[in-house]
Amino acid sequence: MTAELVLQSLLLGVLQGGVYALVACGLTLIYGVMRVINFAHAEFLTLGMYLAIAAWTAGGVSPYVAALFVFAVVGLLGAAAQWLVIRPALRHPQINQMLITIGLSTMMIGLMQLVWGPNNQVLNLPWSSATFELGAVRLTYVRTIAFAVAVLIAGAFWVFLKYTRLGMAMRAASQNPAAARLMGISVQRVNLVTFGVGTGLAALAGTLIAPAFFANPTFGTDYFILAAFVIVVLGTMGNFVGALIGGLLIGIAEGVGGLVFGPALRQLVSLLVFVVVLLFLPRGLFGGKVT
Amino acid sequence: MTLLALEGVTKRFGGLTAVDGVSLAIEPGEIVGVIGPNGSGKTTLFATVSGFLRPEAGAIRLDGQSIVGLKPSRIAALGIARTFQVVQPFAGLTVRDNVVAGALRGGRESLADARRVADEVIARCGMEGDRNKLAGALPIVGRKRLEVARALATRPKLLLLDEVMAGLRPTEVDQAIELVRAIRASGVTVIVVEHLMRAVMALSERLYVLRTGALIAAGDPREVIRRPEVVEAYFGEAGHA
Amino acid sequence: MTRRPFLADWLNWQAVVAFGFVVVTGLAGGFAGSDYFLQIMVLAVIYAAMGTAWSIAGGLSGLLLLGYISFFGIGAYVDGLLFTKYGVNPWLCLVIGAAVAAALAWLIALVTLRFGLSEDYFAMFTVALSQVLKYILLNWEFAGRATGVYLTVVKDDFATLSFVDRKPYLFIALALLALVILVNYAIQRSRFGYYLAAVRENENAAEALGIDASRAKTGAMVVSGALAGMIGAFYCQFATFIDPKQVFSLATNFEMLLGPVLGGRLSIVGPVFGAAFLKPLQDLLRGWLGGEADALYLVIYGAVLMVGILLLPKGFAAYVEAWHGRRYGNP
Repeated sequence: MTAELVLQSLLLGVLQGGVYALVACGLTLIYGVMRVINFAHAEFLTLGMYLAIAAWTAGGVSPYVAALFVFAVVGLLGAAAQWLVIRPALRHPQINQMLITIGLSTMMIGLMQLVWGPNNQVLNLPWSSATFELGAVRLTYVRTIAFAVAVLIAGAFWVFLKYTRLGMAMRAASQNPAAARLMGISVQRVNLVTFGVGTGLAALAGTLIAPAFFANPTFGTDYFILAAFVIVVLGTMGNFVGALIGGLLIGIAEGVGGLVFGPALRQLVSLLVFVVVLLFLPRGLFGGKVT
Repeated sequence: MTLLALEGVTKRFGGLTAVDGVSLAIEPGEIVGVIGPNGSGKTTLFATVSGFLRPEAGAIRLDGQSIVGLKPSRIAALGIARTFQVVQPFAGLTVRDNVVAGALRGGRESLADARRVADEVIARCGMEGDRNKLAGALPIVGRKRLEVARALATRPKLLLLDEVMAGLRPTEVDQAIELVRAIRASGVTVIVVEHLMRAVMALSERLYVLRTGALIAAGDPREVIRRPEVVEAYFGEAGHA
Repeated sequence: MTRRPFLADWLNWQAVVAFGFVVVTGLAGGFAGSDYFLQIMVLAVIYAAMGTAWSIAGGLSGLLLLGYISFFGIGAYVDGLLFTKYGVNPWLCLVIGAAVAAALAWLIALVTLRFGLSEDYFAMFTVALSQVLKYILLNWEFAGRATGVYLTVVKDDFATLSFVDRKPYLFIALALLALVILVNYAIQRSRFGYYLAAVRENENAAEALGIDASRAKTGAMVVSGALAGMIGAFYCQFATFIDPKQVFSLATNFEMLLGPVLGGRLSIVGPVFGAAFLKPLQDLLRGWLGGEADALYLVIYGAVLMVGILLLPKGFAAYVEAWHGRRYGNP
């Protein structure tokens, strides 16, 4: 266990964390505004990966160019899903809502498997495995770009929420739907946009990591959803700066945890952090609102 | 022995002091009224006495025994029953089942006895016809009556009624007043929080007046409401009452 | 007060129908030929029992107990390890499995109530915990890690709950289902049932009536957990092979909730018939489509789940209850 090894794990964790944070932003937004835990969130990320791969293999379009397009397409799909299956269930008991998003998750995995098959797919940019050195550490360009862009977008999103009319409407609806309605905000429309943007962000994260990972139908659920949930709780289900910082913390914890305890226990580290956070920090890192 | 004694009870929410050093004493068998403008802390006081909130300072004693820090269910078991300002029925259960839930007294009664008591209370509160209706399907007056019936079924020593008359029509108010009197006659001490002056004056033997969390007057109802500080609390500030 | 006919009471009617189902299934199983169908039947009964047990905490008590499989998996491993490593009698393991699961449930209740977790957080906590247990067992040498635990069964032996023939498993499973139905029924008839209903409907109002909500919820969790542990222990004997990914599977976890949610989690017939209908359907569909068309199965399954929940928010039993009310002239 050399210092370089620890530093390497740390930095890789940070890179991963940035992407986690972007995924969590969407999840946090959806929960914050609609009080729905979107168990299908990871599938939107996976879908983003697949679309990026398709754009590359079919038309040679770089994922970084396709990203915006993927965001829009998946965002629209997400909004459609919200309109069709989630909106009608908002009046129903919580457990129904949860199982509906679980059903959505299952259906999406099946659809992706039908279209793209169960085997791993890859997006091989000519420079996918190119690395650079930062001091004693070696990092890949793709992961670094993914991190940088993810953090940028998460930041832009936070600004959007804070300073634009739509963003404020979303925040109003999340804090007090009844009052928001009274003020003329269409909560239905806000929910629609929220779900679309949230899932779009997940897909966006997917395009960013497509050059760095193998895609398969259950990729999102296997590797990202757990971290996303942890971050959402850390970020108090609604606080985005918290989500960002939470993402970095989780990425680092996983990276270093994986180094210390071995790769098999990486998931366990996330889970334990999750459990601990749920218990001791249900208000997240910033004492924000709780359900 | 004084049934309920409060000494210097204070409840704060962050920077807001909702109940400010309130002291009062309730003797067994009384009907005592508590009035005050909106936001004066009446409901907070009830919530604190019944254990849903914990006071920052002060003593609360039931029959000489301190009840501060006890769970609401424990306080209910000791003999304090309450209604909620916004009614809280068990909407998915029938009226009868609602009252039986109360009559069980947290396990001190058998189901058979509880059912018997529930039926009696339902009859006394005039809800016979609604017995098998779902509580959620009742109109507001029915739900308020149910709220009282359910609390009564616990056979309390002390009943806290939180604005039960709100939203009732004049004839319904008269019925409610009769019901409260009958409840007292059956041996239950009652504290009534009300906005409706007619009901307060008709029922209260003694009156406490709260304003922004503090007690500003106590005594004979007819005399108290004429005091300048009480009049000012209600009508002094423009637009408040 | 006149005595109403026994069946005019919705709960009694349900109990009769549910036990009737147990008997009919037993008879059908007795005459069934193929092992394949028996397998499906046993699993359906196991799911029915799990669903009915879950609905004590998740239905009657209204707890958002999303991660339920923890108790099942624990029970399975208790049986698997105690039997294979220490030769503890499997029948006894049913009881020990129940006890260990009950202890876990009690702990979860204690922790989540003490930390005041909200509903959503409680749901996620229970889900996360199930996966924590999975990963712990995946890395535990003694429990066989990813390979899991194997039972060897050479001949029928009632004393050790081991059979080559599938039929005895069906009868035992049905006995366990009958037990679960009985427990559910007894609770709904008792004072405890009133506490759970009150806490479910309105926790504050329940507290104001002298009902200790924390104790009621803990009780519900313990009962549901214990029953699941017992069923899990039985499953180990039946399946003769368990591994962490199987008995702590999130997919299986959610599948087990379909019965009560689509069937009606406040009822008895809901979970029983919900599982009895859905599980075999699922198995047959998977068997028919399976392999290559596994993806198609997932699509259909997901779609049916969503549509089902949207169409039957309170579960199918709500309609049955309405019919029952009309049939027996209940107000």
